[in-house]
Amino acid sequence: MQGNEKINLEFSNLLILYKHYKDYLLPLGIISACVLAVFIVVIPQFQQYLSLQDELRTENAKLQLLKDNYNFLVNLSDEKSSSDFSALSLALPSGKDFAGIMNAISYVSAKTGVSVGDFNFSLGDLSNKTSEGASAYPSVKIDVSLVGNSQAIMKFIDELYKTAPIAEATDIKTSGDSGTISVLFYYKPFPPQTIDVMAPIVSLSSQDLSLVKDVSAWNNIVGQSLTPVIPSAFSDSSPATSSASGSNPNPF
Amino acid sequence: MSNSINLVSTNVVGLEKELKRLKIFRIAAVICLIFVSLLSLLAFILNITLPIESVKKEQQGFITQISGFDKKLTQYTLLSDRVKNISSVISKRKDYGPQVSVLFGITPTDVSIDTLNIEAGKLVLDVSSSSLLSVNKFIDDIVALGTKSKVVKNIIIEGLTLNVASGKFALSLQADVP
Repeated sequence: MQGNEKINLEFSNLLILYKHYKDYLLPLGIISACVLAVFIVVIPQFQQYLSLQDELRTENAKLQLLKDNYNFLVNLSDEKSSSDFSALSLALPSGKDFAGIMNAISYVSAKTGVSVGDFNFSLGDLSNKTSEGASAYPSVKIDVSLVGNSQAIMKFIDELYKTAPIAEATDIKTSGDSGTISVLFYYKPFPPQTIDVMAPIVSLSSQDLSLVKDVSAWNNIVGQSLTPVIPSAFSDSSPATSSASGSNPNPF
Repeated sequence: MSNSINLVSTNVVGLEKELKRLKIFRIAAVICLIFVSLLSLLAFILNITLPIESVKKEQQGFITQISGFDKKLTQYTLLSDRVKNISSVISKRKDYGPQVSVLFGITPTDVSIDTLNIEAGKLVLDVSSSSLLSVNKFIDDIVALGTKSKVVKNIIIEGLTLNVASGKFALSLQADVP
């Protein structure tokens, strides 16, 4: 009985309080709802806005990159690019370019007047994988016997350095009117072609352009046919096969 | 009997205060409601007006256009690769030409170079001459070059001999080529 009375008393107190403050309930409810709405709706929306702005910035950057790439490709001279590529491919073939090496030696011999005697190729692994292992630049080593004095042999090497394919004389032995040089002829397989349109196309620097100009003027390149070949050739450009044929190294 | 009568009821004053408070609450609620509504509307408008989709559409357009230059792009990528590799090979390859040219330059005319070997950066040079003075000059000059360490360094004279039969002085030396 006493418990019921207590509850009734509390209920009647609450009722009195309700009646007294019921006009406040609606404004308080609205204010509370507004506070909740700020946390549940407004703040997340602004956060979303900020993240969308970031996304927009990223997308705009991508768009700009695509525009730059597109403009670059539009302005890129197909003919110039093709001839430069052919020249550079002769200078650094994608595979063991025996024909190019023989041409280079005979050309330099004729130009310097140094007779070439015996020579010995160190072919290395004839499979597609490069036998040189850690070396980033695989090469074909050739020992050439030359007939000429020291000056003539050094001239021969000097001329060889300006002749395609790119070479390096590692050992030089001259004695009297003959000598032997060991030469490395470098090659480098083409990288796997994964063209990413979203990757920025970096134009060649002035140093690079100067290099292209220099290399294009090398012996064995000037006067070579620089007509681009069809793209399908590229898919079959394994190092051993593409250049050994001695045909145009352009994979297009 | 009370001597003083309070003509202003405390209840009326309290009621006025309460009405004023209630009015403030109501105004605050309305302001809150309007403020939050405007904020929500603003955030919504800001979100829907960001042109992400149009940018993506434009990107797609450029991707399609670029794919038309597939061959050109591949060729240019390979061209860049060749340039990078050739540049690297040229910068790394040893060129003894300039050093040897300097050696030839300092060799007196009556001194002949009999042997010139360069292997792994080691130079072995044999020269001969009928004039000891010329051989001496050659030694002086090559030692002078060695002190600069630009053309040759660590010069070791292995021997200076006289071949009585030919009447020639032979000098043998070795050095490092930097």
